[in-house]
Amino acid sequence: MTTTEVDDRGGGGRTDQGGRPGQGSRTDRPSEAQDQATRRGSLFWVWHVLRQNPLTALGAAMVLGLVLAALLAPWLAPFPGDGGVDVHPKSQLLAPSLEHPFGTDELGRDLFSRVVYGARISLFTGSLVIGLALLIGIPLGAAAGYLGGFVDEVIMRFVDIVLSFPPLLLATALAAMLGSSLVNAMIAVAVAWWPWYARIMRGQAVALRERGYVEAARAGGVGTLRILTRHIIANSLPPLIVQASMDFGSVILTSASLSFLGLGAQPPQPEWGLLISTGRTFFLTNWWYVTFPGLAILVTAVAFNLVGDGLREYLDPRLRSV
Amino acid sequence: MWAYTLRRIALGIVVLLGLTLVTFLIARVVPSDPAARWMGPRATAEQIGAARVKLGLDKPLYVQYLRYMADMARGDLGTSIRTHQPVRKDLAAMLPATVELVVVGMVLAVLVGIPLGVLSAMFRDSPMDHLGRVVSVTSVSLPTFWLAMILQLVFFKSLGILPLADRVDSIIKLTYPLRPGTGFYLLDSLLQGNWPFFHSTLAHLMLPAVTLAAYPAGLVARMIRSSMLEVYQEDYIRLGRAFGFSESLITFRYALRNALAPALTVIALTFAYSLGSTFLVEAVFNWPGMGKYAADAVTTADYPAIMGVTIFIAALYVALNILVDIAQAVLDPRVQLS
Amino acid sequence: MAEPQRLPLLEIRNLSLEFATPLGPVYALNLGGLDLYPGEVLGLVGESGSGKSLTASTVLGLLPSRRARVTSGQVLFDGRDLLRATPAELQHIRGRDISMIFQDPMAALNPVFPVGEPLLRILRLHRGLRPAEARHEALRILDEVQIPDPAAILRRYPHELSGGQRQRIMIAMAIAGGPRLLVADEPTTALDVTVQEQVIRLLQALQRAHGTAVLFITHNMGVVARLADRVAVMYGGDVVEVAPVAELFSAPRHPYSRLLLDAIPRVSARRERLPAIGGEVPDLRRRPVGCAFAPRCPLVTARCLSERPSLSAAGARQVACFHPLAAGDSRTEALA
Repeated sequence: MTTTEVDDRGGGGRTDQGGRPGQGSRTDRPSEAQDQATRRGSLFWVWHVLRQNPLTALGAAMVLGLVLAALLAPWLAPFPGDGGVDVHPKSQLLAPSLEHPFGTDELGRDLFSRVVYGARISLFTGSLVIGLALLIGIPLGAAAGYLGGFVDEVIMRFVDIVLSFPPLLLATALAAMLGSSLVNAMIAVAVAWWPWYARIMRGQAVALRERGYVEAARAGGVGTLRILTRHIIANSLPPLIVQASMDFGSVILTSASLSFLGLGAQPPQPEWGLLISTGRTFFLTNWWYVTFPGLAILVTAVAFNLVGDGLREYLDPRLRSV
Repeated sequence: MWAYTLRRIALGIVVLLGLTLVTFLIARVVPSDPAARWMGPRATAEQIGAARVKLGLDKPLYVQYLRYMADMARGDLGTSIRTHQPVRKDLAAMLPATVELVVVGMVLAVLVGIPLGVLSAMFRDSPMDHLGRVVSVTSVSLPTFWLAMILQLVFFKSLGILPLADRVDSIIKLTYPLRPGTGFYLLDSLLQGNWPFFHSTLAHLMLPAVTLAAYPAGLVARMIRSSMLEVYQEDYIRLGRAFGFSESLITFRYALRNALAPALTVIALTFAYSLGSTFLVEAVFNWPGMGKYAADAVTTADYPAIMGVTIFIAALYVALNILVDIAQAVLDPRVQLS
Repeated sequence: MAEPQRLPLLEIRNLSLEFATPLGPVYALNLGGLDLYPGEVLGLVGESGSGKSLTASTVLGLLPSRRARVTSGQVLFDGRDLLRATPAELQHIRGRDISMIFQDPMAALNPVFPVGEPLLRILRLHRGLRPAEARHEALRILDEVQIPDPAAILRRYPHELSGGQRQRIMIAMAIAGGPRLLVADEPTTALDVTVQEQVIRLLQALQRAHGTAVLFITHNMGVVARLADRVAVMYGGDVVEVAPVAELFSAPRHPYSRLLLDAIPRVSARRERLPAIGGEVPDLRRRPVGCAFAPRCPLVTARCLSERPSLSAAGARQVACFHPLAAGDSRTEALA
């Protein structure tokens, strides 16, 4: 058998692209133009990507709308008190109308108001889970990649093992063991999620370890901890942030699933997954109860996934240059 | 090939050992007392102390782990608090229902996802592509449990053409009983020529399978699309064009095969992933499988059952990954070299 | 050898090609004209970025990227414009009348199929052979390209073959349809030096045996000297000089050709890549007003900057320059 380069993830279908001189006339120039575009700054690229890809622009607009809805919930919701424990016995389970665009629930609360307040919980949960996962994943990944050797082996094997659980399953099992509460559910999702960030961080650390400025810092007697924080981690943030923003949709879906199972948010919190769980009792006769909170989850996940797709396409040079 | 397979299996065993460690840690180190849980909320301190000894919780942690491992090796996953049956026995009874659902769901996902991804890539940036992308992004963004209910509303409540829940109609089950067999209702009723049963099973399977397929179908379509776009840029595809091969020959015979190898991993992962999310689907459709068992265990705080299901599905997940790697080595002969 | 009175097999006329980029178009090709006669070997040389490979791909209607767009011009094959042919017509021509040898056979052979697969398909598609006949013919062709044990090779995967064997397979595929025109895009660049020599000999032998016209794209002036009848020199997306190979080597007329030849180390003129010439590769983001080479030309005058010279014939030679060099021109000193 002859020697052949096969890419290291063992994935098929990809041949070695290196060692092909003289193809300059085919592709060099557009990428030179892109280099220049990159030099013009990231804002130029953001604008270019959004203009080229209407779906990404749509996703970005939806994300913006959601954030605004969450921030302005007290002004946007027609019945701000319904985000909490208000009860209106005379208006139970009303179908959607002008007064209650999403209808009302079994306690007579305005579902539109509850869904708007729910945006706060979902966005907050999503950010906190991802923040926590980054907080676990970054130090472990950085240590594995920078220190190498035995530390690397132990940490990365552990990462492999955690990744061999389906994430929703692991999060559910953990949340069930920790006990039902929104905070426990968030911890459970973060624990199922951090290995992805540890992997990315490790890859970055391995690549940055050999860079001149890192070696210079090491030779200059700068401490390991300082090198890790000042040079390795600081320079690895962009890809991590991109990955994190792409994960936002999945994290919100997973958290909502836990709440649906009764493991996350607890009444009277207007969490979307919990609303659907409660509405399940009435849903065959009161279709609006589960429909609108579900649409809210769907819209949020679509928004973040569209933005994530755009980011990925922009970041993947193989897809970008074509 | 054999060396590769063996190496891959050895690696899988290491991961499995790790899995037991993680589930052990979750079950024993999480801040709640297993003995107290075992005895229930009204137990006295003495009773809990006795349970502690009985469960071996008084021993050092590593002894506990070794015992746990020994139990695992014997296939003992503990006893369910809710059903008072060994978890293993419960799971064995539930497995066929879940496998039937997951297999049908995955076949649906692949049958929809692959063509969708291929057409999106083939007609890149056309309306076809935009539609394909909107469909696939939507399907990966759907909350599973919500989709299940919406399908019930539409197909049961409004149209009245499909059953609401359960695995088979209860009347049919009594009037046309199925003799014991493999546990896969579709297969058994087919083999026994029990058409009413087969028909009812199929109708009941429809909505849960579609619900389960939605997420993987979107994921497969996305993966195939990006993988195809990458392959389209390869010289060996340009070569096909340079030699006058038709676009459809290039796409379906050549490019698809190259694109399929990396997509296979994703397909398998989502397959396993849907094992994890069956409990949302099964809970809504009252499907008597492992997922419903797990969901019930979660709501009744049946910890041995929760951990048993978790480790069982995780082990299945690992096994699937090994199978995929081997399949990939068959599809792409270069993989074995790495 | 080319006979000017015969009709050309391939004529490229006023071919312009652009790449759309976020910063506006890049004018990659602006080719005034190029003819190729039946049975002749035309070498197409130039630095990387000069548009050689792009010209080759465009002849086959294979644009390298979705951002590339032909804005004007004709590519006439046998009097028929390939740029306006339907996809079905192109499929009929490609692989049968015109075929191509790719630069890097490792990248051009599908890694997940045995190498015999595309070869057999070409034979069935373009020669209408039945499977058994195609197999028989494939073995004959592999024999012709000097592959030992052809029956076994047919079942091998690309990664199981050596670089030389892979390129022989490529060549076998290229000649399988019995083409009248072969486009060879740097067929030896990706190979080891010793293998290069064998492949060049093979191409030479095959060309003589079949009388196929060849558009031979290369960096390598040594290879051109051995294989080509005529040479076209490209610069900045256009052809600046066309001449019979011996005449170009002995007396280049375009200042750029002169510099290109001078750049070959004297001691071993063969196998050497063209070293870079001083100055910058032209900025193709602006459509050049005058001569594309003017910014780098030692002999530049005001006219060169304001007016674009077109390729004008002088006997068997053509040159696009207002101030062409003559034999023994004293100005050559200025170039040295």
